[in-house]
Amino acid sequence: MAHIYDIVIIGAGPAGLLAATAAGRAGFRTAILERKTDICRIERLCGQTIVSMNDYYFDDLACYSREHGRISFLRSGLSFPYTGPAKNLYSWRIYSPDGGSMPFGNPAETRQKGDFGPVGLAYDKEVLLKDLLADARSAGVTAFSGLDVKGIELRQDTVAVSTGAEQVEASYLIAADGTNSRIAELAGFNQGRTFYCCLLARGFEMQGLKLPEPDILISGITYATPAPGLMFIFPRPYEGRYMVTFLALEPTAPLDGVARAFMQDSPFFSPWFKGAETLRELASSQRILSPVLQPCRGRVLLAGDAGSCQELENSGAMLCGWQAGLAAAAALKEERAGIAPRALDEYAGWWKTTYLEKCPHEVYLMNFALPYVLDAEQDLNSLFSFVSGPLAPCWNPYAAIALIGGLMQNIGPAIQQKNPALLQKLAGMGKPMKDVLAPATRSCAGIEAKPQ
Amino acid sequence: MMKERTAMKQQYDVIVAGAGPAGLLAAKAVAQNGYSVAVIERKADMKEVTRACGQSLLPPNEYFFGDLFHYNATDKRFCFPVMGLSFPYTGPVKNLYEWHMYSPGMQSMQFGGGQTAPIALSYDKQIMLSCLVDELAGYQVDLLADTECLGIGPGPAGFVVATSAGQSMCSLVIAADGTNSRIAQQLGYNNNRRHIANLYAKSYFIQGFNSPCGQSIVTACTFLADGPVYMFLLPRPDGDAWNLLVLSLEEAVDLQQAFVALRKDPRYAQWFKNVKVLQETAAVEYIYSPIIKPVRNGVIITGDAGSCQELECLGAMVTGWKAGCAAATALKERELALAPQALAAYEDWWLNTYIKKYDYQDYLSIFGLAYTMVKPEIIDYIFSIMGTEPFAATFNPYRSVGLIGQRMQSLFPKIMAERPDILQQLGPTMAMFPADVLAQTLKG
Repeated sequence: MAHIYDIVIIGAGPAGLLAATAAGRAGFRTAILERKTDICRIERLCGQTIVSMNDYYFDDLACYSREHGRISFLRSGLSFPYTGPAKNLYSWRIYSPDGGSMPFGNPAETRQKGDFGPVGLAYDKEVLLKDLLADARSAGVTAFSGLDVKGIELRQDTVAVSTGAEQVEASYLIAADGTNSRIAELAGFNQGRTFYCCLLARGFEMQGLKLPEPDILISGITYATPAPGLMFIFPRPYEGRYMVTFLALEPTAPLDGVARAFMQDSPFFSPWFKGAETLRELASSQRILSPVLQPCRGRVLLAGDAGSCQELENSGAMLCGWQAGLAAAAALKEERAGIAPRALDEYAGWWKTTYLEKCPHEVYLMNFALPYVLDAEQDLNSLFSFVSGPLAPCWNPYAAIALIGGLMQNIGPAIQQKNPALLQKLAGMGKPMKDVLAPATRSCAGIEAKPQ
Repeated sequence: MMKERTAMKQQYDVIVAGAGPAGLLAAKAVAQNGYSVAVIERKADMKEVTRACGQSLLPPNEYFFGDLFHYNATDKRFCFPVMGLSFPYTGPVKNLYEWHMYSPGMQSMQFGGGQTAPIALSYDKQIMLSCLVDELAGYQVDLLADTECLGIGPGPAGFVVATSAGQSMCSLVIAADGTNSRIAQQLGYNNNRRHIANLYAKSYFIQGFNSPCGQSIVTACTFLADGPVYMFLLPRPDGDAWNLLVLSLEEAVDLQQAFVALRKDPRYAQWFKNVKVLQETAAVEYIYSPIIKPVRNGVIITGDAGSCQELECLGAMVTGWKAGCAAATALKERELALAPQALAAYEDWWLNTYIKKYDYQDYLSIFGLAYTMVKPEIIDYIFSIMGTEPFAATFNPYRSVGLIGQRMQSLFPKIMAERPDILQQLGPTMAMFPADVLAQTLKG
């Protein structure tokens, strides 16, 4: 027999849990289904930071109150408990292979501003999920774990969800099953999306790193592997602990090779890792698609990373999940009170103006494109040698690209004078990302068709 | 009796004046983000309702102020699913499905019919205020009852607010002090507003009302010796009590006497024959045109403080919450040294959600009926030709006026044929805005 709900949410990440809480608070019978057996356990790699703590993102200002143990988005009024530890991250620095760097913010300055200075906030996602789950349950949400969705069926007035063990039927379904969303695939949302490549990642939670500066976000680029490799170091909210992450857009760059390039072979980076200890290892593999333009189809709403280009960042996923839950609740209310429908259109409008227009995916992808545009190590080293002072404090993939654009205007004349060939290569950044990332698209061709 | 009073701190991020629904929700929005906030309230007991109020939430069956009010009966919560605001309300509620409007000669018009979606939700405001106060206890809010706002002046980092409980400094002020907002007056907001009329109201909680149409909303317009009087009869959320509001725009009308007269009046004798008065309250409200730009130098006007007479409880809640969110965002912008946009965004929202969507002239038509239609006999005639087909289910003052206007326009040929004299008599007032009719008639 099928379980009957008003609203069912697939995927119990931040987006799904906030969608569930929004729907549950409105009094609708709400269920959330999660594939993992333990909702609160992180099994896939995640940076676990709130981006853009110092500026608007997704039309909102994120705010963490240590005293009250809450994370809030001030403009929209979304606020929820977070009882775990948190660490202010005061700047972000991108390194070239030879140790040149492009800093976003001067940590000595931002640190002085205390809680008003950070560009990002490191938090513990397992605690966050525990808090969000408790909040959802207090809103009357039923949570099922260990349920893998095998199929969905769009009926006249309901959506039926089949899992191995259970049948669930609801008036509205919110797909919050992340960047490789199976529901998006099953419900036909992926038709017409452009496949760019895959993002393959492995992360090591480590302690005992000897970083030039503690508690800042660090990225690095390597050319030592057959395809470019990236490194992100995310401080954890625990003293001296970091999530060291290695990424590549192509399977031809084996991740252990990327890890070795940074940790063992690079004269600049390898000393950071001498004597460091690995506490935990995680991995992830994501398909990078252009975003879904219309996040509602009939009775299915996409929320969070399920419809985005790779990801919305945690805060975008939270805001989006919450909006989706509210929209589904309002749509149901409209239906039952005989009110002309507009809630789903408003959600689609919100998605368009808040995400698609303000956070263009072409800009997002530029964050991965640099080693494809500057395809030789010395180009990147040369570019970074022109960078003198820090850019504005920033931990936001879209704003960072705008800042780099501004920087290029400033240092362009100097590059033109000293290394005109570099400037010519940099002009490649203006090409469509489809073309820039074409090598990655080609080498991922085999895995394109297989959503996980 | 001595009332316990929390001592006022020297400094807050935000001071909210007025602990009605708008003020308390504004405080919640500010406090849930960790900002310090004080709510100052003139009444000795924040949870007590001392002024006449309809105590019905409308409309739960249509969008209003951009949101779709929804009562979550399972968890006993008031929910606003568009903005995501929700809060507990543990008191009784009653769904109201129809609105019957009576002319002086007992002709009637009906809005809604059958048990479709309710057009209003009757609730107990004292319990709601109590729930909101309890909700705020979960955050750090100083609730200062028995505290009057004496004046607001510039301070080192914002304002100095002088109150009967002492002085305090803050970065932002939210004025949620209702329809006769003293802050709006003191800060000169009213200089650009038009004072149209005053509304005098008495509210009687009564028992034994013999309703002509069951648990519906009943309103009536009647002409007494001293002037026109309106009655609003709203079922209370529990038991068989009703809330009778007797309203007049004229000071000369003694509302107490009016009630006595109405009880004896043969037209209403059946309604009131067994009525017992349980409780009475009163109110006098200035009716101004609304404030167009609700933010001035860091003072944020919200709820009825900036509206034409009132925004209805729902509008007050929605605007109060928005004002609180805007204040929190503005504080954060300052901390981060960002270009300010939050308060301007609140002004845009107010303009687009209230001013442009809900014309105060329409709102005034409800109270203007006796004046725009001039005579009881004309009102009776108009009501009589409106037909028996109920209007769409609504208790939204703006929408209902539109619906009546539409139907009346379609009847012009009929009136022209039957009673050209009426069109002639209505000519002058129908060519005017209701505000002008009221201002002219009442001041003349």
